[in-house]
Amino acid sequence: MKEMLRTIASRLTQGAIVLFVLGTLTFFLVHALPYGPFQDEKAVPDHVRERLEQLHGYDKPLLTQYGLRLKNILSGNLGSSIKVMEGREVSEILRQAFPVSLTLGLIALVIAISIGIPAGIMAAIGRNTSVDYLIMAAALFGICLPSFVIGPMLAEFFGGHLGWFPVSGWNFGDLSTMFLPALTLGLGSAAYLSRLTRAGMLEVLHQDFIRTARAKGQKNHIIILRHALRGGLIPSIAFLGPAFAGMISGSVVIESIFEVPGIGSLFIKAIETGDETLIMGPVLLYGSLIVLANFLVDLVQLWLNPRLRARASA
Amino acid sequence: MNLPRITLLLLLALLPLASCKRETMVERANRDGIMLVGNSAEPRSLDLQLVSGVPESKILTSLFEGLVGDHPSKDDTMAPGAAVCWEHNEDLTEWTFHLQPNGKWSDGELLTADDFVFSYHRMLNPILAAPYAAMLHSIKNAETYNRDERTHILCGLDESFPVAWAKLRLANFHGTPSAETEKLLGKNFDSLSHADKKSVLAAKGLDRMSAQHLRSLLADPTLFDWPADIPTEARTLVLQRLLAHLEAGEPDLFEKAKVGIRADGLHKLIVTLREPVPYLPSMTRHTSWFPVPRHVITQFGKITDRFTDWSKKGNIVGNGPFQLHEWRYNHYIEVRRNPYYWDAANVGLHGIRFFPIENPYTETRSFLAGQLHTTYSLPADLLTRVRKRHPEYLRTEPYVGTVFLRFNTTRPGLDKLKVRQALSLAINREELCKYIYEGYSPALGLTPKLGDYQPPDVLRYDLEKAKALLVEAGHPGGQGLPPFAVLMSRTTPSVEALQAYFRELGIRITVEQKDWGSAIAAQQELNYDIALGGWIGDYLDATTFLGMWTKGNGNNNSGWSSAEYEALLRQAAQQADPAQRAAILSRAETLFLADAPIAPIAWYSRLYLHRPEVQGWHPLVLDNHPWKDITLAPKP
Repeated sequence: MKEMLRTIASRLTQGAIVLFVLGTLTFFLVHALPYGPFQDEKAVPDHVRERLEQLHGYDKPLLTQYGLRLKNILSGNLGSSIKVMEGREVSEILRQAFPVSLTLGLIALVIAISIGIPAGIMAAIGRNTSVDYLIMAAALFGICLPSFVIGPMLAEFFGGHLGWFPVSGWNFGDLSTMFLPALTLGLGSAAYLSRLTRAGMLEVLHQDFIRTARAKGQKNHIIILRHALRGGLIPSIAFLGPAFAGMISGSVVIESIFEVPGIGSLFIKAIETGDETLIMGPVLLYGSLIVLANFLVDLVQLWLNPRLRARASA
Repeated sequence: MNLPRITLLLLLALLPLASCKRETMVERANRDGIMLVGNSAEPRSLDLQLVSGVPESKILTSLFEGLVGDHPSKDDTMAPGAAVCWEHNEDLTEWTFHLQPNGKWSDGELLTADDFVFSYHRMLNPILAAPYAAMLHSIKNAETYNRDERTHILCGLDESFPVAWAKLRLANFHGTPSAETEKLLGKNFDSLSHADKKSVLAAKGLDRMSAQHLRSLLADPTLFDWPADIPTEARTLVLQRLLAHLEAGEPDLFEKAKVGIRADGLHKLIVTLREPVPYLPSMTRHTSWFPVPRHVITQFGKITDRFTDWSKKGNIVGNGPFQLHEWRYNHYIEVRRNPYYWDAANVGLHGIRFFPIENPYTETRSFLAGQLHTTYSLPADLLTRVRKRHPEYLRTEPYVGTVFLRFNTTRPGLDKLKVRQALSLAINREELCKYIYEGYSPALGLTPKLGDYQPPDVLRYDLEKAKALLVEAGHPGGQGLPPFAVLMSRTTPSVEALQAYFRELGIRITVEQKDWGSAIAAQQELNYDIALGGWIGDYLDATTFLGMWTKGNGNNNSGWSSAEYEALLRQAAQQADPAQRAAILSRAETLFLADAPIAPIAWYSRLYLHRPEVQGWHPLVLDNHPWKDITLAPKP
């Protein structure tokens, strides 16, 4: 038990270091951009630019600015957007946009799991039959087709042609506005999951304890659900952590296709304009999420896999 | 096999949640009198003095109103706005606006001439640093105040000052910074040598010296070079006044700058200009001339504060036909009728919902699925399809904008006039407009047709002449010319066409793609060969296109300038007669086009989709459709 706590503590420390490095790199990379937040399509007069630089501390030496930012961020102050949503607190912007990305990611995750894992199991059970080939072909198709192709196709068919769902927009009170973007986002991961589940299941199904279970005359669905699934899902679960983080952060394209008011589009605009504070906010948020997701996956794997548990306490 | 079966059932159960074909958003909005508008982008802010984008201005024109309003169907006809009527003196340098007697803010407060004075004071305040303040520079002394030219304000505008400004103005106010002095600035001033001190002060200039600089200069006058005919007492007096200003904590100089704007009673606003501006009423239709609510702004901060909460939901107060009802970040902004608006009885809509849909394909899809009344733009590659399937929705209307190639006239090859002329002659504008800039019209000059102004009709496609010019320039068949890179931030097939046109001349074109910010920076630093760009006019006058090509103008970016051209612009600025003025501007443009620092390609059109039930929306070149005149009349 003590050893396990130590493992957890070391993972958390690693996470903190990762975030520190991430923030530092982001800060200096943004400041190394060939353009800055104080320019515009139409020229900004010099006296205006100077005043803005002074206002946002850009007239100070870079290291001083870095120190100030670090101090502020450690005390929980992410600052205000410099350009994209000038003057608005980054934390306020994230508070509005993050629940959208999170909800979208969660629904997509549910879709991915409920399609991908059963499909993988079915393919494993029916190995080398037409069921298997069909599912794996569909999965390969899903992996290959990018979301900017699937998205408009789904929107065109379910939204435009059938008129079942709105083709764009987002409304927390209306699940139908969330379905198409979540489906688009979830399908890619579902495809990966089905392949991983199939491979994991096949490996377990060949092991001795399954043969023993069969020899005991255990019913097939009990063998699959109780004995094989626990081991067979390990690769899929390892994938789910980063995949979930990816789904909430990597939905930029989908946000654009379906006009979802999430963080992705904001983040792109922040990068285009060099809005350092508004870049830093999502970077740190997503960084923490990925660290957290990996940490949770580690915990689940410790619970699922007795060998890892033994190693941790040995 | 339970798990898969359950999953399938669950998924099937999800479908009916949304399935039945329901009333579209547009149908519902028609019932509610709410117009659904595709508006391209989330506004940066609703503080109209700090933003300048088109999406922002669409929302702001519903929430605020300038002195003069837009006419729903005629570009050059002015409608009453916050002012009932206006008049000017003979030489068009003093304008009086009579405000609506029952003009009110959306919280019921009276809208007075003082509010306008406050608004222009804030807009021009150098500490606020409003990016579009230059729109107000034609007001007398406004530029001086906005640029914080202290000596001019403290001494030049003071009639009791012993030396006239005409003489004093030759002193070094703005400084001449260099890389060397940049290093010296980091060091302690008192520890520098005499020569270094001198170069620091020369780099700073009088208007930007610190109190420490001024004190050292008062103690040792040899540290700064003055024009010889300014007497010593006057020099000392200048320094003393500047020092007193700094020691007093740099108080606001608005009063001392005598900016030409004042209120006479509650409802009379008098604007004094530095030169005749016949198009002033048209210019006041730009958001930069709109009023902002003093009583709200001062409640949330100082006049100079950029980041206050006054323009957020719940706080913002306007004087337009609508008021802010809902602002959901990146989702929509909804405005509803303002009961205190002076003309509230004639406002047709109950409200407007602006959707920040950036992806034009998504926007088109949303429109066709019945989610929008009007779109921001239609991607050109969907034009054919829409024309075939939904011609009733398609709108193509002229817009005040020009697509052009900007030449970096400091680059070898492009520094030769004949090479630039040849490039311009080799562009087949008719063909480009037919196949690539569909709906646009071939540019005959830089300025599209605006009111009285007749653009010089000079641009032609003439390959033979282009080849001949290259021979004259000493580059027959493009010999000896380096390949030129065309800079752009977004891919467009027009570059392929240009490559083909210039290949006819034997000139090779490569593509240099940079992201938006870097592309702008490269142009401003003259670090490019040829850039594909454009310009959208701000008001209905040729100067909105011609004014930017002066030396040192931040939007010029071509390295080109001409004293003769600038003299013509100044001459036009002094001319009160509209016809003569237009003639002078047309001469300036002819000269400009002959020098070819740019090659105009096409005049913009706005391509968009629009539902027929929207009434009171007519083609306008500035595309500022007055929201209050619009109604929704669905066909039964």
